[in-house]
Order: sequence, then C-alpha cells, then structure tokens
Amino acid sequence: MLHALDAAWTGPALVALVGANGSGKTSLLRVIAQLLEPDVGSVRVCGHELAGGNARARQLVGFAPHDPIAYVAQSVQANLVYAGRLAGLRARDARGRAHTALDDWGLGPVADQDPHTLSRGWAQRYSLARADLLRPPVLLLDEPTTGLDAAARARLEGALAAWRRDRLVLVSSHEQSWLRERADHWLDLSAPGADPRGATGVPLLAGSWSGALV
Amino acid sequence: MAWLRIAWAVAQHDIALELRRPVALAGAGLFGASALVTLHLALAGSGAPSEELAAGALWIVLVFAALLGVGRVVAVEREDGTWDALLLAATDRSALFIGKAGAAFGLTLVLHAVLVPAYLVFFAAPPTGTGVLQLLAAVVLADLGFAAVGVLVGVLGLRARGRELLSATAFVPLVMPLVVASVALSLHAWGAGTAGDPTQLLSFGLAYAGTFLAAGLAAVPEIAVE
Repeated sequence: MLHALDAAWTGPALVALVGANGSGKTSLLRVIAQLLEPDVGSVRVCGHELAGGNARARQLVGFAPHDPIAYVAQSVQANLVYAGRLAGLRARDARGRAHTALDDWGLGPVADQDPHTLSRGWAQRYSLARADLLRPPVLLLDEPTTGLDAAARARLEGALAAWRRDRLVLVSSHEQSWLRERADHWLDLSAPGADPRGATGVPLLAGSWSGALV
Repeated sequence: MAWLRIAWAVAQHDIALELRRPVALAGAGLFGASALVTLHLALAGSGAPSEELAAGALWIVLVFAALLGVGRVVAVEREDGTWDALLLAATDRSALFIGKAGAAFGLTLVLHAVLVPAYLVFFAAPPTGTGVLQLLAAVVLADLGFAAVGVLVGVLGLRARGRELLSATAFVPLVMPLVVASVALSLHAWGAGTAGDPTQLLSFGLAYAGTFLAAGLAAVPEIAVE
C-alpha cells in the first residue's frame, strides 16, 4: 500500500527509502520500474511520463529486486545475456555486455551456475550486475543488504559509493542507521502523507530526473 | 528495430528453454501418443473409420495437445518468477506477445509435425495431390490461431486463481470455430469435403489467427502489469 506522496529527486544522489513493513517501499520502486501501475497519480523518469507504459523510460532504469530475477536451470551468464537482449541489444552485443558485467562484478567463478543455487551474497552480486548491465542513470535497489556477509556488504558499499557520484540511486532498506550514514536524501514512508522535505529538512531538487507519486 | 529484436529474442529464448527442459513437448507428446493408442483400441474391430470420424478424431488430438503446449510458454515465467524480466524489457510490451506467440507457434508445429504423421499411420491413408497441401495449410493456420489464443489466455490468467482451469475453459471454446473450419478443410484434403470451399476455409483460418494476433498485440500491453 502506497499512500499520498509527492517527491522529486535529481541525480547524482543516493536516496534512502525507509519505513515499516507494508509502508510501500517495494511498491514505490516497482511503480518507478513500471512493474506496478499506481491507481492514481503520475510518475516521470527523466521527463518521461510512465502512465500506460513507457519503453524509453525503462531503458533508463535498472532494478534489483529483493529476490533476483533469474530463469531456473540457466547459468548466470545466460541470464545476463538474455537481460541484455531484452534491453534491446543485438545478441553479440548482449554477450559482450554480459562478459563485461561478469568481470566487473567478479562473477567469473559462478558464471556457469544457476543463480538459484548461489549463496545470498553471490545472488545479490548477480542481481546488481543485472540491474547495472546497461549502466542506466537511475538504479532501484530493494533491500540490497539482506543476508549479506561482511565481504559482500563491502562490495555493495563500494558500488554504492561509485554510483552516487554519477547516478540517481534509490535504496530501500530496514537498516536505517546503515542507510542514514550514506544517503543524500531520506524518505520515511511510514509517516502519514510522507513529505520528503519534512523528513530531511532539506528541499529535494527537481531536475533531470523527477518522480512524482500522488 | 528494438521491438523486432526483443520479440525475436523472446521467441528464441523460449524455444531454447523448452528444448533444454522439454516439459511442454514431453507432456503434449505423451498425451498425443496416449490419445492415439486409446483411439486405436476404441475403434478396433469397427473397420476403417469414416472420413468424418477420422478428421474429427485427428483434431481432438491436435487441439488438446496444443492446449498443453501453448500454455507452457507463459506458465514457465510464472513458475520461474521471471515475468518481471519481460516487463522490464525496453520496448512496447506487444513485442512480448509476439515473441511468446512465435515460440508457441514453433513448438506446436514441432509437436503436430510428429502427431499428424503418427495419426495417419494409425487411422487414415495420407491425402494425395492438393490434399497434402490442404492438410498442411489447415495445420499451420490452426497452429497460428492456437498460439495467439493460448498466449493471450495465458497472460490473462497470470494473476488469476485457478489459472490452469481458466486456460482450459477459455482456450477450448475460443478455438472451436477454428477447429470446425480445420475439420472441414481436412475433409476436403481427404476428398470427402462437403462443407465450405477450401479457399474460404483457409481465408477464415487466416482471418481468425489475424484477429487474435491483433487482439493480443493490443491487449497484452494493457493487461501485463498489475
């Protein structure tokens, strides 16, 4: 359930989405990723209105859900190649991009494994590599810290530090203290009629990227 | 171009996935083989079946085998939890429908390419002359229609309760006009046709498949998202 919300953010920045279970963190990310249609209101990504589906906007957003999106009995590499093809790349380009992602994320040792057989840390790495495959300007990460050990968490923090310099990253998490140390902006969806300016005391900027939910 | 590339990628991926994990082909093939054996035993001793019975029995086997086959290309996304992967594709979502329908068409053709010759071995002498082309055209057009209807019904049922029942109960009535036309065309193939003109029946099959392809292209982008 996502209640009244009006917000706009511009990148590069890291935006923290926090709130109790059921406050709408995942729903908000799924709306921006165009996996869920809001009953009312409007959303724009880089000026593109999402109502009714917007393919151009989908090219600009990478989404890493809590449970990785992966076909059963297909390797990590094959899943990444198919993700590239669904993004519109030619087969050869998709293979090249998948190869680069395997290198960048250190996924080589598990490239031939089914993502469903991986530990949480490896699966999360695969999920982030998939979301970042086309280096989109907007990244949506749903509970990326769940179940990570220290090494996996350090890798995630490294990626977040790099992304916040040139992307707009929306991260949902229950780990408020961890997120508070890293976020540029803060949005608590538990607050009735959550107003991001009220939550942070700092006006959020509208610009090249904006999102609005009512 | 991205639309075509993505539709092609979906079709290729689904066919490759089914060849690697042949759930639909194995299930539908087993059903087809069982149906042929059952028909063979049920009709044993009654002499050679009439052309009407032979054509009707053929299409009963083909339509239910298709039902098992075409539903699989959507069901696999539900089972693997990967429908979101398709919804994130960077194109109009009508490409997903065409890709899925293309895969379902290809798989049904493969399935029927095995079942039709097997049926002819058990029950009826193969058609001759233009009859071969008429039977071939009837199967190809019917498979196109089955694929379009099957994928459309599959997407409609993605979030429905009792979706397996929905698929069966919606698919069979929807394809019934196509089955009737295909039976009539098959009778012409065996030189026993009395209903309709073969050209008209082929045109009907084409129009039927075209209608449901157009319906899927228009509807799937609207119904694909929660």
